[in-house]
Amino acid sequence: MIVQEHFDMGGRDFVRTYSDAGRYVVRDGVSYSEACDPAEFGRQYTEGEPIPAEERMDEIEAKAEAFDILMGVSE
Amino acid sequence: MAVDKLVDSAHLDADLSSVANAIRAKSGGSASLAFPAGFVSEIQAIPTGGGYTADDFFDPALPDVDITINAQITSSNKNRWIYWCAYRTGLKSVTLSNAEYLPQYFFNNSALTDLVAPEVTFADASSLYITKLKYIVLPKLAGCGRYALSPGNTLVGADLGGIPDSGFGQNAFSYCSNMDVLILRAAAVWRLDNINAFSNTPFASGKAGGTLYVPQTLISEYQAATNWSTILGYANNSIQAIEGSIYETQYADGTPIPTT
Repeated sequence: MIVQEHFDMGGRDFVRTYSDAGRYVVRDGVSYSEACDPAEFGRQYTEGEPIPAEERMDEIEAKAEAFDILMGVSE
Repeated sequence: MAVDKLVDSAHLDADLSSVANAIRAKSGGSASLAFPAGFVSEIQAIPTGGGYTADDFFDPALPDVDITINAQITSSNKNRWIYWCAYRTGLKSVTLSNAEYLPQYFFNNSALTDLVAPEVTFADASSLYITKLKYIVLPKLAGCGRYALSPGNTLVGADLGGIPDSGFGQNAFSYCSNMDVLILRAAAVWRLDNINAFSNTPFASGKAGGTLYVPQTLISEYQAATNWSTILGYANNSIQAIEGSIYETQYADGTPIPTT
């Protein structure tokens, strides 16, 4: 299903939209593995095709990215 | 020994001298050659080839070299070219004169510093990952795979001219910690699959900031586009028109844009 999470950046509200089923999210016929938009845009996405396995972040990469975020190395 | 022919010895000597002279011309030798053993050994001592052999090419420590690859590399034959120049620590400058497709891992972990690839329309995953490129200038690029355009901290600018098709894959420029100029020349907005394309670059949140150059008429479209709207929403990033900038007449690497 589609998941939308709000996050603040410099006092501005943004929305991260992704599928928890490993699928693309689609708007106006264009697919994204993850979509980030200013909240005021109010954008809605639908679930699309499955993201190919080689495009999906594997567990090690996900943990590495999480570590970077926690250590303030990455966003 | 039985004799079966009568030979004109003077004529034979002249012929043998002619052959010996031809051999010495190739070998660089000057000594008299005894027939046949001397002829044989002198020929065997002649160096082969006029340049790099196939064995040289597969030597990862190939000395500093500028090479041109004329093979037609396409999406149909890409699989035979995977890793082709990967891990070549002596590689410097490469021209892909006839490649439409940059296969997966093609230059991965090589010492590539300069790339001329005027016909490439798609750069597959990790094709330029971990190289020494300072600039990526691909006048016909229309899309790329994951980590395709991420040489690392040597990259300072990228200049892409193709009409976007598949767009930017995930982590396209990730870890290019000094890339603060991106020029997208097409009259259409590039699809940005995920903001992680700019992770650990100056364009990322909280970083020093980068500048995106696009055609004047697309500035507002990029500011509204999915994922671009977020990237351009970071305080230190900016978007500017190519027109009126130095990039109107030169590529990111400073070379003049041909006028037709």
